[in-house]
Amino acid sequence: MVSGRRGGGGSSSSGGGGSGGGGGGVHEQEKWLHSALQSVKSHSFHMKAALDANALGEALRHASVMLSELRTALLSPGRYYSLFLACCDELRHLSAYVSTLPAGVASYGALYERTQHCGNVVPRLYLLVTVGGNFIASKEAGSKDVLSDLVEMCKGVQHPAKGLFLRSYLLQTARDKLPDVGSPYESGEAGVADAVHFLLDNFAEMNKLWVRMRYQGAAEDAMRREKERGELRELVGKNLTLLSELEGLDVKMYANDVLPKLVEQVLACKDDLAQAYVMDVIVQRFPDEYHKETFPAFLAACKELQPSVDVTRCVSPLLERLAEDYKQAAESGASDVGGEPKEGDTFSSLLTCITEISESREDMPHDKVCDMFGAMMAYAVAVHGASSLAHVDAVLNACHGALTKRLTGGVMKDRKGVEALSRMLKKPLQLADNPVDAIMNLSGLSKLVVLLGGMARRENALVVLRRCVEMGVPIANEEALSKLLSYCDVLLHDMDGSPDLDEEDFAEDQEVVARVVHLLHVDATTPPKEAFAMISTAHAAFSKGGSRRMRYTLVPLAFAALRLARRLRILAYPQKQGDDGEPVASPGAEKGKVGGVSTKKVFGLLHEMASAFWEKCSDQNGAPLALKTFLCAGESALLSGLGAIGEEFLTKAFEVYEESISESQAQYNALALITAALQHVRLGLEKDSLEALLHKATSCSSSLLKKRDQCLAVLRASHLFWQDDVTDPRVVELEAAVASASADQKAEYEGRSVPPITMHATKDGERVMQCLKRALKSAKAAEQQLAGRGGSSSDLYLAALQEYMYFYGKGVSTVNASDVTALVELVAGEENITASARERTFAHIKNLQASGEAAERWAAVAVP
Amino acid sequence: MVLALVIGDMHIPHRAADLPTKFKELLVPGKIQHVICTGNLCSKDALDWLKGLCGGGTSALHVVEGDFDDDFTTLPQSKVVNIGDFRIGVTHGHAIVPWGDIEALKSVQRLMDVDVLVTGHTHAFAAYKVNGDKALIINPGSATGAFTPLRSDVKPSFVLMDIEGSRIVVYVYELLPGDELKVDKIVWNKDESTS
Repeated sequence: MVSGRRGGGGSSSSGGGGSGGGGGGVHEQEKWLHSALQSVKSHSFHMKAALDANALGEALRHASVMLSELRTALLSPGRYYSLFLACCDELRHLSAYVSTLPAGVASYGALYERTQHCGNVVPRLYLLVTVGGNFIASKEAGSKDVLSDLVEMCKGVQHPAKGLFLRSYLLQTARDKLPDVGSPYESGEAGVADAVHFLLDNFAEMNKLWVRMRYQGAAEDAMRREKERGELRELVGKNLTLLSELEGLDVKMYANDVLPKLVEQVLACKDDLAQAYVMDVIVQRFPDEYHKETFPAFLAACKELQPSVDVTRCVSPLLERLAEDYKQAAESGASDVGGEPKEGDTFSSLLTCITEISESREDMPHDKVCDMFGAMMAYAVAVHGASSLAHVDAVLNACHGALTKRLTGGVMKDRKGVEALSRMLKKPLQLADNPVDAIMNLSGLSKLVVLLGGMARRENALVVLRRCVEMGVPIANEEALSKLLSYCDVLLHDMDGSPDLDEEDFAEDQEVVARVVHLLHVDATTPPKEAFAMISTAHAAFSKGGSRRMRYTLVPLAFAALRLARRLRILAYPQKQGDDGEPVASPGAEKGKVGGVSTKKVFGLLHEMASAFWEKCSDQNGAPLALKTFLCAGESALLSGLGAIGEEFLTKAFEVYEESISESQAQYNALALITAALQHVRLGLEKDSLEALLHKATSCSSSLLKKRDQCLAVLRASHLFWQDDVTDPRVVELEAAVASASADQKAEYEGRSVPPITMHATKDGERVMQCLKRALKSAKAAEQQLAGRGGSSSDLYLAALQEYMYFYGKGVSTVNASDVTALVELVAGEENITASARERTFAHIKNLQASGEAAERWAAVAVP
Repeated sequence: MVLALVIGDMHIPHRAADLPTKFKELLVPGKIQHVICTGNLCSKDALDWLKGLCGGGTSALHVVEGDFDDDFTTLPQSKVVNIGDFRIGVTHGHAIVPWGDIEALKSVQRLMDVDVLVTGHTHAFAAYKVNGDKALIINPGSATGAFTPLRSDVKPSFVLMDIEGSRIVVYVYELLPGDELKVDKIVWNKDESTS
């Protein structure tokens, strides 16, 4: 009744040549399935009726017709599976019936024999498997013999889908009848080895069928077929599941029989889907202790897989499994000495395997290489915990080797590879206590980072530096700094493939580099020699950065050098040995050396940096930076007793001012800084040198372009000639340094004394008055300049009045009450002065007159 | 009551990597109405942090230029802000000679015509009540405790001013060695004549 619909059904037993399953549309498929299920239902009804009537022959005939439905090649695998399930359900009735030997049947052997006479191969084999199961259960024959017969007989169906389902039915039937250890079917003649062989044989056959499925049918259906094939993979995998569930299977048998056979099949089939799936199932199904013994063989097999198979998908999970196992062993105390892994051996042979896999697969993409070594790294970390740095480094170096072979010079270009490598590099950075330690201890990191292209390399470098800054990781020695800088060199100078950044990003990057300088604790307990070495190294690195970078990176370095200079200055002072001891000069101090560092060399570096701002950074407005650096360094050199150097620096500041600062506002600002700095200088300059500098400052002030600026600058310059008497600034500096020193540093600073010198505060009333008068002249000129244009600069008189009051209050003899009164009158008469500011000033004088020590002096000034 | 933060001389990244964590935790947007900065931020980062404190414009930011600010942005040399009954002047102070000199500062306070003069540059907290003149002169110090050639014992510090009526309460936050936070309070009333 169904033969008319069954296209190609007759050829099902010869297999191979059929058109493959799954033709027709969804609608047709459903129709075919429905009609097949109807037929199954109807014939099973007759089968069951025959069984009830104890008519075994009749029942077998109906069963055979029912099972003929499974001969169809029309259904898609999914629908064929539904049909298969329906048939299996019905076969259970038959199986139950023959579980006791039916009347009139001499033996199971006879029944088994009789079943072989059914017509078509598909129904016949289903029936044979059903009866075979009961044959084994009856123990009339050995499980081993029946199973090997069945596994052989099933070769009769070579159509892939049909064969797969048939063998799946065989597995279903045989699963509880295997001659496993402890099973009732184990005997002197049949043991677990036979169960293993049965399952391996069946696996081999199923795998072949499954692979063959790929080549059936039209080429344009290949995609769909692969999808369907994917859906059937678990039928094949079931063999492995049953293998892994065998009670009697042990490591030895797994290593000697199971794995080699599986690998042989997998490699022989040369099918990527099958290879990837089976290798994965092997990793998932079998226990860790098996893998530990066999991973070299497993990984060796991985090496041989089809080029299109993503090996990392079997390798990485294996590594993860092993890692997890070791971790648990470590947590459980690992008191069991026998189970302790031979770590070194395991690790190095694993790494060798991984390396060989990467070598054997030249076209493995970069990202997969990175991921695989990344998994290996995770394994090393899991197995070796805190002491894994050496192992991690070995992995990194191996990965570097693998990648350089692929890259043949140059950097990685593909996006996925770059991402994977960036990912990989970040992990070990977190492994060590901090990124600096990681870079110090993991030589592979610095090698690998070079393979990243500009942008990714930049990002990686930024991650490292930002993390250092966030953690406040101290950079303790030159070697660490050197390695860190070379790791991040993409940020430090232009190179092939340097990322193209906009101004804002560029600035941000350089500011991160600048922050790192503060991790060099040059004025803490780092030995001075090391501190100087670090500054020199950073200087050399930053100097290659070009003007755009130097203006950011050299500034903090200059301040680091100034910190070190201060520290060396303090360390050069004689120190008391013990509470009662005499102060002892610092060793080497007479040669200008402290802690093995020449102070002059520190200033030499400062000179280089200031000059670099000036000469090399002119396109970055470097002149003001140069000027400021020269001023700071100049006063520091004077305090350090280096008069000539100090003078040179201060003179340089003027040179910068004169040669390179031309815009009038910039000139005014720069001159204010020079004046303020010179006013602050208390010691170290020869009288003539000081005089020359002061003269220069005043004459520059009075030659500013705008009269207004002239006036204000000269007012400021007046302070150059009047200094309060103060304590030796070196003494103040030393005392404050001792008072605020950290516990570690106290010993370095305490008990020192500054060799006394005579300080002379400048007190030159004549010159003060000259300046004040000069300023008034400029104020007047400014007013005249502006008068014609409706502007006013009469506030300059108020500013001048403040300075007159200042010096009058200081008791400068050249500034008389009448001078102040005259200016008060002038200010009182100026309409354009803000009234409230004027009132504040007059009120201030009145307050001074009202009380205090100077009341009498101020009474001589007339205020309206 | 108006709360004003007075802060400056961060020198990030020239002389310090970042603000002390304790200060960053204390200074969060929301409570402060005015941020008065004495300059020497030295980077856009530091300026952005201040802007962030102002809560996206809900409070006012008043920044002047320090001697190391010329590279990243343009800021005024000085500024006058009216808060409540007070005229508050702010300027960095590197051009006030002699540096940190109280008489010189008073001159500037009168010239700028302000009740409160805020300056920086010395990296040391200072507050002078100039009661005869009804003036207050404040230096919040350096918020990062940045290095300065001027002194060897810089401690990170900043100031909060609580301004109400004729009274200003100055809270001084200083970070002592060992990361210990010290808060001092100075009360100043411009109408009180006692010093």
